[in-house]
Amino acid sequence: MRLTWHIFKFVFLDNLRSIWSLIYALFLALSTYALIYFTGSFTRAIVSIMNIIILVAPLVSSMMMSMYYFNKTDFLHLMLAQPVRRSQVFLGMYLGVSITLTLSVLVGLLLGLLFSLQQIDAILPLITLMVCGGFLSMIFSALALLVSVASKDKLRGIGLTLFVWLFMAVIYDGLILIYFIVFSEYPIEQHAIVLSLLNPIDLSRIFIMLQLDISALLGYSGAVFQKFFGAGQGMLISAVSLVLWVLFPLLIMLRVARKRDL
Amino acid sequence: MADMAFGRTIDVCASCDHPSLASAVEASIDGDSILVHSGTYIVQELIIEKAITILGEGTAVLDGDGKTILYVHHDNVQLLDLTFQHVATNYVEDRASVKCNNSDNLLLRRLRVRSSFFGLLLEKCNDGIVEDCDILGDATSESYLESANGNAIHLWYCKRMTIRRNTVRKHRDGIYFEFVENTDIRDNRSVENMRYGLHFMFSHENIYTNNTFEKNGAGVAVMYSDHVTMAGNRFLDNWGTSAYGLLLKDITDSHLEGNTFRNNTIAISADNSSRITMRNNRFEKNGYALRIMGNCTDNVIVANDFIANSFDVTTNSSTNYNAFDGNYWEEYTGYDLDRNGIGDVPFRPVKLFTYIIAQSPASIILMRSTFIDLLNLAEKVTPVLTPETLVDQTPVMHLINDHLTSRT
Repeated sequence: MRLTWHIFKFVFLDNLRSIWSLIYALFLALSTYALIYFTGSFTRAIVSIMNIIILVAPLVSSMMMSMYYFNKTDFLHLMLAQPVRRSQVFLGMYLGVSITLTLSVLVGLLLGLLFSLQQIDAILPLITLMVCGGFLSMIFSALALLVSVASKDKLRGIGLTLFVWLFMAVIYDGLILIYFIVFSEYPIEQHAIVLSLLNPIDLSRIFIMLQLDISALLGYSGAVFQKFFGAGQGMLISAVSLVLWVLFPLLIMLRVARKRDL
Repeated sequence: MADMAFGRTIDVCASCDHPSLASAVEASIDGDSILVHSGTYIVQELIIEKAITILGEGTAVLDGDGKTILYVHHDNVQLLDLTFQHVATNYVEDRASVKCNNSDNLLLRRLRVRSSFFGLLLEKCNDGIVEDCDILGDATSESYLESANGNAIHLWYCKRMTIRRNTVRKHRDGIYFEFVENTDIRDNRSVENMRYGLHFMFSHENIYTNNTFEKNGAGVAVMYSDHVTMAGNRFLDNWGTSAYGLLLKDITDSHLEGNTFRNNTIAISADNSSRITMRNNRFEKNGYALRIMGNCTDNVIVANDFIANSFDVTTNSSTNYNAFDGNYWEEYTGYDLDRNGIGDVPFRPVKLFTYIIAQSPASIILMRSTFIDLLNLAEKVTPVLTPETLVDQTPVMHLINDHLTSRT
């Protein structure tokens, strides 16, 4: 664990000093501020910020993680030549990058909100937004590291990482839409809940949407979702699902890293 | 009416000749007035079969102690400045504070009704006036049992009535009409009722002007009627999974003009309704502004403002037999090169996603997802699924009905 801590500290500081973390945080701060300032309506602004977060946070996290891994192969090889456990090195690396990314999201959002305090009239959707932003960063950096470690070369690794993001953010919704249309004669609200638990981006989106009062729009289906996600049990299940989304790719990544010929 | 002016005035108070309203009514003849002095009187199922006027002085409270308070079974009866209270829920008979049957030329003015199962219940009454009444029931959002509360103003088989300046709150339906014709409903406020603020069926040729329907459980629902005119009304904050600003079901040959719809889940939902003109209305911050089913035909939607609605127009059909013309759409992204105030490219208010939701309601879970935004964009460029004729050829560039903003 000492080694993990050391590597974490190194990677964390390395990333923190990098200009990209700063640019990322500033971008989020600026767009948050601008959206609240220009849309006038707080609810609408939150929806727009949500759209940015659930698209940009996974994309940036995936890319930063993947790039960092491939740019630091020399460092990795050097480290792994020492009598150390691989899992500790990789875990330290993951934590270093993902925590910087999470911090960037949180700091960016907070900074943007700080400059538009007087327009804020509900705190709960903001907290949900931040929690989801943080989780998405953790999840997608884990996925990106897994894909990168498993890939043979840099090109394929980054390409696959991009595809994972594209699949989760866009293609997945298309597939479940086809499913909904094919089975539209049946009561498929329960299926919709399960399907959304299987995609962290959808889960975050629904979670935030239900905090806003547009949830009444969702009609009967919305009432089913509200009942599930609004109740303590549903909240717990979604939270557990998000945590599992971090842990699962991470554990597989550690497993792959242990076995792979680097 | 003329001979009434010569009638006597009979006083009712604890120390008067008539300590109870019942004995005063008994002693009266057509044309008399009964003056009820301040105080609380238990009055149960008192039947009025004479053309008399009952006036309250100060706070004259008629307490039903559970039962119906007054039955009116005669023409030319006037009830003024009285307070009614405590009429209990009953599942066998429709108990009300005032229950009128076959009474023409009624005048009910400045009546206060509190904790009453039904408020004012009028059956087969013509040419009467109900005005300045204040009716407050016990219904709360927690009392889920709709049948435990009656309607505030309930008319059945009435003609040529005037209902104006009343405030009705916390009942089942605020104003309920069945088989009511040629009636004028204006300046009423119907607020926080459990079910509908206004609900009518089989009620033709009625005119609704300048009423406010606010925060009702399911908004306003009107059905099976024709030649209805609604002008200058406000439909506000009817928000909830099954709430409508205005639900039109089988309404034909009607006019909706100068109304404001704000913060409703669905501002107007039209089902099997035809030949309705919707003109100069303002739709603001609604979930859906206009849901128009495929069985609606020949409706004309002109010069309305659509502002900040989640969805402007939705339909469940790929064909459209209604005309959209010269409306202001906030979502319009076209241009106006010749500066004549009318956009140069047509506007299609139905998004692909709203069409998909109509087909498969569960897909609403995808609302605001990137994939859906892409689909909407693609459909906007080349419409395939959304009704091709549902299009505004002359979208207006600026707000049309600005005067509706200032009023609340």
